[in-house]
Order: sequence, then structure tokens, then C-alpha cells
Amino acid sequence: MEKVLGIAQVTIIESFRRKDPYVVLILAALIVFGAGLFSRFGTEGLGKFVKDVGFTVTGLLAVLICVVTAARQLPNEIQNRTLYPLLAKPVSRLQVFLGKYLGVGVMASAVVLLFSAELYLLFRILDIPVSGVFFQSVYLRMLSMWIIAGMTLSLSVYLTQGGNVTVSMLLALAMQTFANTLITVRTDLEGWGVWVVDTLYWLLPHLELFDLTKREVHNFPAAPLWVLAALTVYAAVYSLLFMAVGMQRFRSLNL
Amino acid sequence: MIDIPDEVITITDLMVEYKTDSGKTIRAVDGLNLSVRRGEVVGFIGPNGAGKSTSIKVLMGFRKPTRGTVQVMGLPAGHMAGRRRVGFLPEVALYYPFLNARETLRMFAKLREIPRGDREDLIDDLLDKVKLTGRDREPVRGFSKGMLQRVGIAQAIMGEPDLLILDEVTSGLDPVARYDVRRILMDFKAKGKTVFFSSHELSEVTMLCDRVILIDEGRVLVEDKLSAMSNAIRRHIVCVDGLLSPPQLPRGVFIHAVSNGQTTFSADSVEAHAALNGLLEELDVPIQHSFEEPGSLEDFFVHSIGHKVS
Repeated sequence: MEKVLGIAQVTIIESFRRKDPYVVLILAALIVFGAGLFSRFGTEGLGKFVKDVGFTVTGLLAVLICVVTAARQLPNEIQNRTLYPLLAKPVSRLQVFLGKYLGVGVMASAVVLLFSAELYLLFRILDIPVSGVFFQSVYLRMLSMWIIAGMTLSLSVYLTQGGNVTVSMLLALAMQTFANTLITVRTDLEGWGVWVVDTLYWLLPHLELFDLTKREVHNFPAAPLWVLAALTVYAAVYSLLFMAVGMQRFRSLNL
Repeated sequence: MIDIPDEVITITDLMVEYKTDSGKTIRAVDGLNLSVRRGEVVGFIGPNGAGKSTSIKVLMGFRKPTRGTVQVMGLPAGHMAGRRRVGFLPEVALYYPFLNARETLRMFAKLREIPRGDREDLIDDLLDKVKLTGRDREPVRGFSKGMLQRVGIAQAIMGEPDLLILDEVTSGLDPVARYDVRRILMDFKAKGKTVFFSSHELSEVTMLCDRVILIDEGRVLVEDKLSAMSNAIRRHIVCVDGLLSPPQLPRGVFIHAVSNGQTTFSADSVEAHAALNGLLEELDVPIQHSFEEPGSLEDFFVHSIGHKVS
């Protein structure tokens, strides 16, 4: 386990020293604070608007950081020839893969935490009330990062780095929005079309389940604990599935 | 802990093929056979594209062979128990640009299963050996190629492995750094450890190796002791007074040196020597002195594959 943690630690240190998260953090603060300034003009219901903007912007940026970081891990290791001395030590490819996954997952979760702390602070400055759903939202968003990290890391052994960033971003965004689209499309379909849509619906992870933005924006009550527990298991299952697909390829990859 | 076998590296009938992006199949290694015995220092040389790096990748278990068997420490290549006894240096790795040398070595110490309490002392010792003490807190991204290679050497020799496999070990190193690397490898050799390394620096190979394996087009061309290789190529040295530059030299004759008002020719065979003597007689140039000496590894290399490269 120490080997996996060692590789994860390096991934986390590298990611934060690259300073990408801080740049994005400043960008997010500027956007949310900019939206909040409208309140100075006495606009009604602005709190909901600022919350919506805040969650959407930080959500997108967190996904972007997670995808970019996960996509560069293994290709960079190969390109920089660092993977060779790494795998020459008594370390299995599974341990390297898990270490990378753990590192990206922790880093992306930390970014979500930083964004959330930033949002919380801005909402307090702008006198926008925050409920308990906010904290549930933070937890679920962190969980979704682990799914995205697993997917992107796995795709990195199949695609080029640039291709992976594009595909993973599209997939991550699609997984947050496709459920409603599929339900709408299904009503107009018959025969095999229905079968395809149903398969897609049940096969792909539903990241929209991890998004409590609307619940927080419209001051709905907090989600029951069993829902959070079920979603934790859901995230673990999908992360494992993605990891298994990537690991299968990485194990037999000729370096 | 595994016992060290007499043959620490055994490669039998190794063939490695890979497909290019255009779908063409390239055979990088073609029926390679070699062995390295315990305590030997073996140089693995050959021109660019001869299959050295590919063979080393198979040896380390990074790549699967198309055909053949490869054993390291009596175990299949890449076996975990074998890797505990092997140190490996790839051809100039960039490591982790945002980490410093100490952090990099700390991670490798974890992977090398060095006990937690021994790590910092060991890292201090390694940094001292590769002359990076005082630079260990600087990010690796600011390091020169030579300094990166020093980090690489430090991680390779970490934990006193029984076998060192080094790919282009002196690549990018200045003469002082090369001297330091040679000293470290000599130290290994003195302890009876085995070193297998590829290099383009034939002078390093000459100074360090007991035996040399020359490969070309994925096959072993020659595998012998250095002295035997040198003796296989005898050079005939001929010195004449004056700065002489004949318009056309006989085949196998080269200008070896021009200094102190003398021109020295080198002939790489008896026939070339005779042709040179004939030419000098024709030009009416008296020979000051003439002698025969063993050829260098470079002579042997050029003689064996130089015609293909040119």
C-alpha cells in the first residue's frame, strides 16, 4: 500500500505545483463575484442566480482540472521515460495505475473542496444564505470526480493525450445531461431504438445524480443519508468498472 | 530472497517485432542470443537502431517478446522477485519536473522497499555519490541533462542491487560526470556485482568492460573479451616527416595524426599496409618509423559495421 500511496503523493504534489488549480480558482472567484455585483443594482432573486452560476462554473472547472490532470498522467510518464525506472522497481503495473488514480482522485476532490470553500466565502460576502444541501453537494461532487478520474485515466491508455481530454470532457458533460435527453428521445422511438436508448441509459453513469445544484438553489430539503450512501456505492462501482477496463489494457501495454 | 545464479542474464532466440503507425511490421530484434555471468561487466554496443534499447526493454519486462525467452536472475524478465535485485537506468529520463531530487529519490526509496528509518541517510549518501548534495532541494525541471542522469544513476544504484542494467549510461554527461559514473561502476565491479550496459561511448566501454557484445540488425555480430577484439584488429602505424596529404590514399589507410612536423598514417590490414608502403615509395617519401599495435574498440566497431553506416 505504501507504494500506491507514494505514487499518489507524487501525483498530488506535481498537480498542485503546476498551479493550474489556483489559476482556475481565481477565475471562478472573478466570475461568481462578478455575478454577485448585480445585487448592487437591487435585482430581485439574485441569490438564486449567483448560486446557480457559482455551482455551474466551479463544477465545470473542477471537471476540466480533473480531466486534464488524469489525461496527462500515464502519457507524460511514458514520454518523460519516468515509467521505466518506476516499473523497474518491485512495483506492479496495477500499483502504478492505482497510485495514479488515487492521486488524481484526491487532487480533484481537494479542488472541489477549495472551490466550495471559495463559493461559501463569496456567498457569505454577498449575503446569500447557504443550507445543509450545500455540504451534501460538495460531497457528491467529490464522488463524481472519482468516476471522471477513473474514466479519463482508463481512456489515457487507449487515446492520445489531446484526444483523451476532448473525449473525456464531452463524456463527462454528456453524463451530466444525457439522462433527460434520452428519456425525451425514447418517447419517439420504437423497436431496437428503444433497446439502444435503454442500454445506454443503464450502462453509462448518471452524473446528474451527483449534482444537487437545483436543490440548493431552490432551497429544497437535504437528501436522505441512504441516498448519499447509495450514490457512494454507485460511484465506487463505476470507478471500478472504468479502472478495470483501463488496467486490462495497461497490463499488456508494450512500453 | 533469491540466490544469484551463475548466469544473471540469459536471452535465447529473442525476436521483437512491432507495428509502425502506417501498419508496417518492423523487426527490431532478430534471433538474439546472449548471456551475462555473475560478476561480469558487459558492454552492449551497436549502431543506432541495432536493437539495443528494445532488447533492454524486453530484459526489464517493459515489452513482450514476439518469440524467445529472456531470464533475469534465473527468473522470467519482469518478475517481481528479480526486480528486487536489479537497478535500472533508462536513457535520459526527465523524471518529475516539479519535484526536487530528494523528493524523487524518496519516492523511489519507497518503491525499492527501503525501510522508512533508513531512507534519508541513504538518500544523503546517494546524493553525495552522484555529486548532487546542495542541489537536492531544487526542482528537477531546472536540471541539465547531465544532472538528470545523476538523479537516474542515484535511483538505479539505490539499495545495492546485484545487477545493474544501464541504457546509454554516459549519455549527455560531461567528462567530469563521466569520470564520476565510471568510479561508481568500478566500485560496483569491485564488489563483485554485475553490470550490463549499452553505450555509444566506446572509450567508457573500453575502460569498464570485461566483455563486449556487438549487435547489429537485432543480432549478435561479435561477443568476446575486449583484448580479443583489439587483437583481431591490428593497426600498422607509419610515420613520415613533413605534412603529407596524398590526393588519394589506398583503401584501408587513414591519416592518423598530423603533428610536430610529422604525418602518421594508419593501415588497418596487411594489404593496406603494403599499398601504403608502395605509395610512399612512389612519392619518394622516406618512412621514419613503422610499427604494429592492437586496434581500439572503435577500430573494431568501424571495421565490423562501419561500412554499413557509411
